[in-house]
Amino acid sequence: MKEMIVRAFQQAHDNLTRMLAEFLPHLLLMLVVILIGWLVAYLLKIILRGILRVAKVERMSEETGASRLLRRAELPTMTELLCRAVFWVVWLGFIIVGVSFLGIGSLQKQIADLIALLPQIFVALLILFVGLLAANFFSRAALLAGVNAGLSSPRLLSGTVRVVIIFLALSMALEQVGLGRETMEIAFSIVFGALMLGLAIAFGLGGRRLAARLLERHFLRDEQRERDDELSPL
Amino acid sequence: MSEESLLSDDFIRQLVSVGEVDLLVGIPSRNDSKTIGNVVRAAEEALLRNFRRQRTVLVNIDEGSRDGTQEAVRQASSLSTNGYESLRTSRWITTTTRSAGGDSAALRTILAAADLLHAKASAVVSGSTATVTPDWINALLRPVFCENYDFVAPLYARHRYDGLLTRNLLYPFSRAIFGKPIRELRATEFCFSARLASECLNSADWNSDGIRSAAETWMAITAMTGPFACCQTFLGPKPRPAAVGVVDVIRDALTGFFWCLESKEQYWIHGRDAEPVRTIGADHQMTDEPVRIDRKKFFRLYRTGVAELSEILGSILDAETHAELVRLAALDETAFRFSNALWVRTIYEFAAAYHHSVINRSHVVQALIPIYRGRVHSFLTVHRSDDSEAMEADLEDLCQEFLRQRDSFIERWNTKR
Repeated sequence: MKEMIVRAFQQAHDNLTRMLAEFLPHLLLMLVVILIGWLVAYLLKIILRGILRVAKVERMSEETGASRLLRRAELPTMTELLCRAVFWVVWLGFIIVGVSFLGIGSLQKQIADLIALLPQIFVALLILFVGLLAANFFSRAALLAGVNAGLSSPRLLSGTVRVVIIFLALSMALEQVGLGRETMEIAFSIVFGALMLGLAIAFGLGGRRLAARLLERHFLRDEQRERDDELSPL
Repeated sequence: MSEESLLSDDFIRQLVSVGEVDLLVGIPSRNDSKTIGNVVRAAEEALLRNFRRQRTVLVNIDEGSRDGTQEAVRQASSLSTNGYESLRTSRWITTTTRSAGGDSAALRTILAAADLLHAKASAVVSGSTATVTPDWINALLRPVFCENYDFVAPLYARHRYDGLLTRNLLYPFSRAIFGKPIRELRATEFCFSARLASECLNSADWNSDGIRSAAETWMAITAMTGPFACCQTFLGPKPRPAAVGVVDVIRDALTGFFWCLESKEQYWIHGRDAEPVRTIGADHQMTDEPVRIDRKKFFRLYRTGVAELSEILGSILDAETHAELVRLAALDETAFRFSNALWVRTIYEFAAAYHHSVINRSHVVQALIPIYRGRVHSFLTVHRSDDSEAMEADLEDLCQEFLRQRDSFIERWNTKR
C-alpha cells in the first residue's frame, strides 16, 4: 500500500517534471519572443516619432482640429498617440505569437481568431477617428458658413452635420468589425431618411415664405438692394 | 506650370507675330460686356495720344465670359481713335485663360505676355471698371516708362463707405509691417516694369492659396518688399462695385494678405522703418452720394457671430481680447463702439493664429468676418457726420495704433502657442 502511494507520487512527480521540462522551454521561448517584441516595438516607436516630427504631423493635426479633439478627450498629442498605437499593436502581435508557442490547443484557436480580428479592429478605430475629425472639421465649416450667411440657427446646421458624420463613421466602423451589420444599415437608413423627411416637411410647411424669399433672392437678384445690404469691402 | 503650357498655342502665335513692344495694356475681363467697350476705347486712345512713338499692344484676357464680352472688345477696338494715329505698331490680342486659377491666371497670363514681348511698362486695367479714361492709362504707364518706377499703385476717389476692409485692415496693417504707405493693395488697376514682371513670373508659389486668392495683393507686396521703386498715382472715381459674395471677397483678401505676411516674413520680422512712397496727384478723395445702409444688420451679425463662434474665437484670441469682444456684443447698439486699440489687437491675434494654424487656416479667416462686421458698424456710427478730413485723421490714428502694437505682434508671431 505504502509502496503504491509512493509510486503514485513518484509518477506524479515524474509527470510534473516531464511536463515542466516540456513546458519551460516553451515558456522561455514565449518570454524571449515577448521581450524581443517589446524591443522591436520600442524601436519602431522611436523611429516613428522621428518621422512624424519631420513630417510635421502635429501641425497638420492642429490644422484639421484633431489636436483640439484629443485635448478635449484628455488624450496625448497626435504624434504620441500614433507612436503608442504602433507600439502596442506590434507588441501585442509579438505577445500573441509568443503565447502560441505554449502549444495550448484551445488557446491556439482563440489566438488565431484574435489575430484575424486585430486588423479589422485597427481599421475600425481608424475609421472612427477619421470620422470624428471629419465631423469636427465639417461642423465647424458649417457653423462658420451659417454665421457668415446670417442664418438664424447655425448651431442646428452645424450639430446636424456633426451627428450625421459621426453616425456614418460609427456605422462604418461597426460594419468593419462585423457587429450588427444589417442592424446598423437599417438604423442608418431609418435615421437618415427620417432626418431628410423631417427637414423636407419643416422646410416645405414651416418655411414656405423663407423658401420663396430665398428663391426670389437667388433668381431675381436685385443688385441695388444687395448693394445696400453690404458695403464693398475692397 | 511653364509659360508655354500657361499660354495657348494661338495666343503664343499672336504674341510672336507682335514681336517686341514698349508698352502693354492688359485688360482682364469676365462678363463685362457693358463696361469693357469704354475700357478698350480709353486704352487705345491713351496709347495713340500719349505714346505714338512707342510699340504698343493691348491684351484682353477673358475668363470665360458668356455675355459677349469678347465681341464687345472686337467692336470697341475697331471704333474711332479720335483722329490720333500711331507712328509705330499698335496691336490687339485677345485670349481666354486656360487654367482654373481665377484672377491669378489672368494676371499670370499678362505677366507672361509682358515677359515674352519684353514690354518695358505694362498696365493692368479691369474690364469692369466703367470709369476708366485715357488719363488713367497715361497716369499708370508714365511713371514706369518715363521715370523708371517698377510698380505704380492706383489711388481712387471713392465713396466714404467703400473699401472698408482696405481702410480698416489691409492699408494700415501693411503700412505698419512693410513700412510703405501704399493704400490700394488689392487694386484692379496698376502698372509694373519688366523687372518686376520677371520676378513675379519666376515665383514658385503660383499654385499657393495666397496667390490664387489675391494675386494683385501679392504682386503689390512683392514690389514693396523687393528692390523695386514704388509709387502711387491718383486716377479718379472708382465706381461702386456690386457687393455680391461679400464673404468670399473678404475671405480671399484676408487669405492672400495673411499668406503674404508669412511668405515675406524675413523682410519685416525684425521691424521696418517707415519709408515714404511718392504720390502723384491727390492723396485721397471721397464721394458722398447717399446710400441706404442697414447698420443694425451689421451689429446683429456681429453679436450673433461672437455668441455662436465663442469656442472658435476662444481658440484664436487671448482670453482678455475675447472677453472684451463678448462684453461689446452685450452692449446696446447705440453704445457699441469698436475702439482702434481693440481692433488692432484682434487683427494681430488673428494673423498670428493664422500663422500658427491654431485651427484650419480657412476657418481662422472666416471667423474674422463677424468681427469685421462689428468694426464696420462702429465705423459707420462714428463717421456718420464726419467730413473726409476727420475720417483721414482717424485713419492716421489707426495706422499709428497698428505701429504701436507691432512689436507685441512680432513677439506673438514668433511664439508658438
